[in-house]
Amino acid sequence: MDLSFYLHGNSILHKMPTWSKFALLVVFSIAFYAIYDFKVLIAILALVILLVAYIKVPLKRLKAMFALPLFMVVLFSIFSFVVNDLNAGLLTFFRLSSLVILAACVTVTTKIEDFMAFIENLLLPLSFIPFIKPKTVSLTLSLTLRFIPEIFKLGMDIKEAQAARGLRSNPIALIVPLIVLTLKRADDISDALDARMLD
Amino acid sequence: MATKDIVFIALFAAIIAALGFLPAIPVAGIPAPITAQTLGVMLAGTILGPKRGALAVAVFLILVLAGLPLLAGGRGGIEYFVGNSGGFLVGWFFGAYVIGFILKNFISDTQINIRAHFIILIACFLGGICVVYLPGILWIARNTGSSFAEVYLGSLIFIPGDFLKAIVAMLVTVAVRRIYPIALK
Repeated sequence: MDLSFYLHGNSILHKMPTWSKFALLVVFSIAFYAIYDFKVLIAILALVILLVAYIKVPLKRLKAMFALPLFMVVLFSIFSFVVNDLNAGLLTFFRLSSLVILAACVTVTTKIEDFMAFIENLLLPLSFIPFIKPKTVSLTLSLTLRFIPEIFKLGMDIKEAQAARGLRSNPIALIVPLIVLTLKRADDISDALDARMLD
Repeated sequence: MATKDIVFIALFAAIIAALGFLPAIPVAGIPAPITAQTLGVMLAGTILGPKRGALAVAVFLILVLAGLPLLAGGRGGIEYFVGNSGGFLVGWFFGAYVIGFILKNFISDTQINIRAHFIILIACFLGGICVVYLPGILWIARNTGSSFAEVYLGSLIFIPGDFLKAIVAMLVTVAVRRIYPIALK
């Protein structure tokens, strides 16, 4: 049961405070959409790939980290190419792939607890609203993050089990057990939290 | 809010995220496969109820805003809120609330009869489509400088897919509520 994508290391990205990484990511994500020059976009992509090498992502992790997001980037680029034109497709590809890789770099160099502390601080000015308690919010966010990979894996397992029994892809047969099995764990999880005296 | 409510909210936000990663559902007759993520938004309302459903969507959206690639297709980040999809994302929050609100007030927690099926379908249509599309269309119209009617006509091609999702959401809701009923909150 491991949610964290965190990679131990000593790079600048590891040492930067969380807020600055997210601020940079936001700035880049807006700036990328203002760039239309392919030379610049290719240079950015190359730099971002160098960054991956610099934070020393092990080869084994590369596939898990990038296979799905990059596959999706390619799909979206093809969609953009079909709907618009080749230029738009390539723009989508370079912008999105750089962003995805950059976001992944931030993810693997940020401890979840640092990220949660960051969100808590962000919400602090909002704590006058009754149900927004920063502690509760960050607990909820970290619980969610913790369970996304597991629920995804559960979904794949259900799909596989159904395929083994000859059932073809059926959304209802997949989603019903996925939700029921997940919600049934809520009792155990909330007991565990209460035992650790959440309040 | 009790610990269990928080856990329900967190788990459902994770379900919405996981549904975006699961392979899209191919539907006969519609060229683009529909993703299960908006289905997850409807289900948040029908299974958890208005408050918890909307909060589960909010938790999911905060994580997307933080730059995590959780939207269907591995997308995420603040640019999706500023970009053309922004209005729809905000609409998800209100949509889940409206769906939960209708269910909470018009169906009983225990009895699932034909009338309940119908109400769930209507709720998913009103909340999951009308409420979601309103800010979505307004935002695109504002961004692109086109009229509400133009954008509305343009988005009509997505309605059949979303209507199918409302039907799937209804069937899933009925099945889940029979196996594991949760009081709507």
